[in-house]
Amino acid sequence: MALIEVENLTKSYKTFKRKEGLKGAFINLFKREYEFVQAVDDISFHVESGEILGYIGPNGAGKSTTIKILTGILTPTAGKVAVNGVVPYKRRQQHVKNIGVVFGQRTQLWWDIAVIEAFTLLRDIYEVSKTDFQAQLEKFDTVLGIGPLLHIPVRKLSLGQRVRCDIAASLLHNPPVVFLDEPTIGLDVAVKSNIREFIKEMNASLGTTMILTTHDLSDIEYLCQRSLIIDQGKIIFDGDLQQARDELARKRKIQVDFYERVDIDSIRAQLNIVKLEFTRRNDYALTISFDKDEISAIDIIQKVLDRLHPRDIKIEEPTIETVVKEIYSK
Amino acid sequence: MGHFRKFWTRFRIYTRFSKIRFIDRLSYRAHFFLVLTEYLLIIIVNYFLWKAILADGRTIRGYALDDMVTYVAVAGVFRFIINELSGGISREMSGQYHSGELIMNLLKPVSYQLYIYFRAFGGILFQLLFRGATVLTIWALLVGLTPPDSAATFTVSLALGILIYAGIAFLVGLTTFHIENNAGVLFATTASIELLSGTLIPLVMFPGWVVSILDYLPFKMIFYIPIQIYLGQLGVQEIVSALIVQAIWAFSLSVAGFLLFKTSVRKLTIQGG
Ligand SMILES: Nc1ncnc2c1ncn2[C@@H]1O[C@H](COP(=O)(O)OP(=O)(O)OP(=O)(O)O)[C@@H](O)[C@H]1O
Ligand SMILES: [Mg+2]
Repeated sequence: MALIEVENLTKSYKTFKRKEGLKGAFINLFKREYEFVQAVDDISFHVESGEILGYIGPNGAGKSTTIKILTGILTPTAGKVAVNGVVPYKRRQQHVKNIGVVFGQRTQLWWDIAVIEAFTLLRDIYEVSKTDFQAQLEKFDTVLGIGPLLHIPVRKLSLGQRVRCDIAASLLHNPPVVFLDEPTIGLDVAVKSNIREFIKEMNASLGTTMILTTHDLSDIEYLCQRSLIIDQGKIIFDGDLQQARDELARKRKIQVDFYERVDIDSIRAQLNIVKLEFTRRNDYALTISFDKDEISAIDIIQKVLDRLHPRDIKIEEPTIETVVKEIYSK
Repeated sequence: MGHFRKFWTRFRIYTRFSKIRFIDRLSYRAHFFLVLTEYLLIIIVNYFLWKAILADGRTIRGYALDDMVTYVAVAGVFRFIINELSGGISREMSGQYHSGELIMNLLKPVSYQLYIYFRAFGGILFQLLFRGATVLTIWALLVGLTPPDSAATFTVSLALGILIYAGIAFLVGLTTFHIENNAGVLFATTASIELLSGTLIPLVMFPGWVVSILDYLPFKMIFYIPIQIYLGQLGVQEIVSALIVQAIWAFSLSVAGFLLFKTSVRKLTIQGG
């Protein structure tokens, strides 16, 4: 049995359709129209114990909605969810004891107290021993540099400082399952890479299971063997993004710029290589696409140089971004 | 023993929420004196009103000026508590719902209802220890104050009254989950509580039929019963049955809050993020 099980999960939001303007406001008083937004649409997936799953997708795809259901604060419209055998929304208090949650966009800390006070309160709530707590604090100070922030009231922290404290707070009790919804939002480069390192280390040493949502694909590249891509509430990709990239990388592109106007037919004739695809970028530039296993790039470049008098040549290799963009646009 | 230890550690955690609210209230000093003055003025106005009404040793339905001198002061202090509960429970819950702080609390293995209650208790402790004590001291020195007839039973009854109002305030707070803007509900309940719990005038001064309706509602359990015990107007038998009825109201309202919270959370759609 997988640690996290999601079967045919659906969530639709019922929203009140407001009419604009004064007249609209008046009509609203008497007649209410509702709209349904299908935020998550019949998705299924499993996450094994010890896995770090990347969960990506464009804005409004349904990522946060899924995470909210998995953490127990949102009740699904239909379908099944279980985390470690517990249905989150049915036994919320028991469930949240064993998870850590970071919503980068909102804080998990109490506004009106200093960071250290929030931490000791969490220590008591999660029944962490004093020695473990001390060790955790030291660890978080090295990774996140939170030492100097401990005595500042939460409401006075900057976005990045707050997110750092939030991450520490949610991992204080070493939860076996962690949900990270845009955890690196607003963080500077150094802290970001520290956090990546830390997440990787936590996963390796404690076998923590994690689901990570982010728009920073380099996080995904570094941390996740497997990723889900969700779009308009549906899962459109489930697998290894690196592998997808390598597959796509068979398709190479060479960009060539010219001094004169481009005439694709004459260029095709001059090069005289089969299985090349030409796309015009503008009047003076085109892109040649080919499969690197069938034709060697050197061959093409040589012929381009010899026969076409180009102004500039550039070889493009696909990145994770282009892979994801390609999947989104399908 | 194990159960008791566990209960005690949980209890300690919740009292820390009380402490946080207590310290938070303590940190607004300018506000402290402003509110104090406002409430003291209301007590003084009420006092002069009753002084005029009950001149020359007159009494109304058993209340003489001496009783009313104490009544207005204790009622004035109780209004601090009403204020604390409507602000610290109902309005706080509505604020937490709209700011998303509610979610953060739902993500902790802590009972939201108890968290809200204990925060409010911290606020009440502040109100009584600082504002209440100041008002009563000033009043005792300037006008005079009779001590409670039975301090122990009064304290128990007052605590139950506070618990009843906390239950009502929690239910009012929950209405935000369903109607988004509950300012109207909040205003209406606070106003009815002030009027029907006896903080404005002793309830016996209402027409007879109103008094008999009020017997079936929880409002008079909030303040009127405690103040009657304070003034020594109830016999032992009456006190015992009043305390039992208070306890039943306190318990049922909190259970109602617990159940309604459970179903409300299921319907929660969370904004943003
Ligand atoms: N409380 C709500 N009421 C109504 N609709 C909502 C609510 N929350 C989210 N939605 C809608 O549900 C859809 C999915 O939202 P969700 O927050 O899950 O997206 P997301 O994938 O996290 O996006 P982002 O990358 O922008 O954070 C969106 O169309 C959004 O408008
Ligand atoms: Mg989101």
